[in-house]
Amino acid sequence: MSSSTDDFDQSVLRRAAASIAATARLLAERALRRRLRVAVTGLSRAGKTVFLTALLHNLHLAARLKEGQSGHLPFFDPVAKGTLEDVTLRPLEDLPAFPFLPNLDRLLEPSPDFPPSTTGLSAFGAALRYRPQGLLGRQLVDTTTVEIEIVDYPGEWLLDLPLLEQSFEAWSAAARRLAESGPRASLPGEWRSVAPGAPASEDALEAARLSYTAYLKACREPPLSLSLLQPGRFLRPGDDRIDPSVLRFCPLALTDGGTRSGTIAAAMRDRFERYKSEIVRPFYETVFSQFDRQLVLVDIIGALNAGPQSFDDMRIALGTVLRSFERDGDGLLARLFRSRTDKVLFAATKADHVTANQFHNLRLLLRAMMADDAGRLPIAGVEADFAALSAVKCTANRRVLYQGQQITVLEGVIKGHDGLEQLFPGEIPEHLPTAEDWASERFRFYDFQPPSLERDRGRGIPHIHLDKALQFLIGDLFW
Amino acid sequence: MTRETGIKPGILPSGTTTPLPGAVIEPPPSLPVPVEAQVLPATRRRGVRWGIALAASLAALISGVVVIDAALWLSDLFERSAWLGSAGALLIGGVSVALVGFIGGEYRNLMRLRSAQAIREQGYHLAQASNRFEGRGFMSDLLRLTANSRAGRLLCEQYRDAIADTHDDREAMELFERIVLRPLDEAACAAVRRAARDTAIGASVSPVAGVDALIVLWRSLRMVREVAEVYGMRPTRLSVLALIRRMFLTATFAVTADVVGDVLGAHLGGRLAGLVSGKLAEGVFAGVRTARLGLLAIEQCRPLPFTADDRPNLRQLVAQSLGSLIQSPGQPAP
Repeated sequence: MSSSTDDFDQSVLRRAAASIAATARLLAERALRRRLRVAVTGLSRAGKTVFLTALLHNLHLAARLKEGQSGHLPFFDPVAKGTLEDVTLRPLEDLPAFPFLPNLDRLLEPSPDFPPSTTGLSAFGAALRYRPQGLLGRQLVDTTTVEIEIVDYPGEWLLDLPLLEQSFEAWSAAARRLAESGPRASLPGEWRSVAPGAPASEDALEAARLSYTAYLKACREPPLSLSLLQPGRFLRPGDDRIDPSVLRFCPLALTDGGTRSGTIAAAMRDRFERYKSEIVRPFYETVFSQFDRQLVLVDIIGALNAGPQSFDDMRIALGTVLRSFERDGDGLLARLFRSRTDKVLFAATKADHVTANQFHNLRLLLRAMMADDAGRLPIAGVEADFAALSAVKCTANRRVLYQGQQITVLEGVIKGHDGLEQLFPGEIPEHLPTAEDWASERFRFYDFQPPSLERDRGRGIPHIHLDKALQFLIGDLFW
Repeated sequence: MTRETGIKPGILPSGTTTPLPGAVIEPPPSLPVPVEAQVLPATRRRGVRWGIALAASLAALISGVVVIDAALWLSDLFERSAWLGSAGALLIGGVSVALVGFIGGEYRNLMRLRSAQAIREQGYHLAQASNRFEGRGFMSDLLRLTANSRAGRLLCEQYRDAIADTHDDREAMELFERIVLRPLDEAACAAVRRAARDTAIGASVSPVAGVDALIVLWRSLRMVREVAEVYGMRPTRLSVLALIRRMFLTATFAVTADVVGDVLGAHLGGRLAGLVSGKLAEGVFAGVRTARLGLLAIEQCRPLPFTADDRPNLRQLVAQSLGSLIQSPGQPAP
């Protein structure tokens, strides 16, 4: 009799102990869940959309590898160690969803094409469940989850940071000086002749905005292909909720005398201040400050193709972008806002446009573009690195004998051509190109068609160094 | 950086290029010449080498005696009867064919071991070279060697799946290290741990002095062979001996210099005094010695050198394999 009660007691105790252990594990797992916001940005046509699509797709497949497969992310630690259990993708609640599936379909079609570029802010979440390998983590839980929220925003918005310390007069003067020098001087525009003293009306202001936007668009498009396009929201408003009247201003030829109220100058100054306080500030305060890690994509290949003026303009634009990452010291960002970003990766995209032996120089060139004359980067307190990557690898490297020389060539389908062709893409200089480099027409990089991925749908999208970028950005979270 | 000058960037007209054979995945090996190869062979010691002369003349004497004896025996048989003679000839023929086969097999194995060693040495050179190198040809050698074992074959398949034409040589090596070598290291360490435990138990329970020495010897030989097999070397008994000889000749004693005392001191701490008297302490010593030999074997068989932070350390290995023995002296681990 007594033995059966003992048994009963023991089984109850055992069950209680088991449920306590299960609860403890659950609590530990909850406590160990980590959430991280990673931003992907870049000046237009840098390849943000393709990057995000390829990244999400490859991550999603990385947890579903068959035996003997390593997938496409061998340099991302959780994949290399085989500890990744599951990856779930889902849109975020508080931000517009990145059109991942439509973009992916476009890449996986029988005759694939690059997805259309996005114009505003969008995001997608990926929850990576993995088995911890660290001594402590292994004892506490079987698996734990890192949630990554990947946010895509236009790099042009970062060009607005310097506006915050400029008055309308100072900005106008600087913008007009810029518009009258270099390649911009050739562009027409009614905004150039707007009279500051004329009486203000919404129609007149709107006409000025349209004309200035058209001018900025012409700057961005080939043949000019310029990057320094302020204010950033004119081309990438991004948000439907923006009151269009805020954008109704343009640089004016102001004289030293004060501006009378009721004139265009006074109205535009008011709009400029509103632009700063209603758009630029909130972006930095509520959106930018939430980013833990950032990836800045730069289309160096495109800038080299477009020529010295476009290249130099991109250099200035990148210098401006860089100011958004000065977290310490007396940087503009540090003085105005708090930033959570502790790691930034600057990546030269479209690395598949050159042969693999040029990646090193591509990285060096990107660094040279962003560093000051002494070769320093003004972003102390932030871990920064440089990379050369390509979200979709459109070409293959081949070693061939050509005119008695062993050379590495690219093989791929050039955009607008039919069939595979071999191409010697030339070399990337490791320093800023000299006048001689530009004169010798060294830089003529072709765009390629994305490869057909139908055959290995289940294997993911071939890329260049996407996994290394991922490892740099979030690899440290997987202990 | 090599500058491919003289050629203008642009599309190459079709048919003007000739692909280099096998160049897509594995460009032809153009390895830097190993430094050793340029060093002149050490000048011979002058004078007669009496040891070698003795061994050679003894071998000649014995084989001469054997051959002459066999010939005399055969002719004797033929004199008695042609049938007996042919039977004897057949026997002798069989023995010599088997002998030649055996020697040939061992020789081939030794040669294979030697080529594995050569691959290893190249690996060491490449890993130490700080500049860019063209090592893809070497990678294919490395893969062929490692794919000799079953586990290795699967890992090599995984490696081939992961590598792309855009990875440079350093990345190729790094991937090989991560995908192939790490699991193999784990397997090799497991073999060493097993052997250390076995010898520790064997030595501590053997009733007769001398038997424990035999157990240790036999188990250590088996362990070295297992370790070599993990890394794709497939040694026979004779080549295991050659391997062991190499191990002792090239062992990096700095790494494994007398750590036995250190390990025991650190791991057993206060308990050491209580154990020293018992037979168990002897067993633990034997286990530690085996583990140390195992590490030497791993260092000798691994095709690439360890980087500083993933070198297995003796203390951990001993703790993992003998920990249970030490913690509960009464009940050795199964």
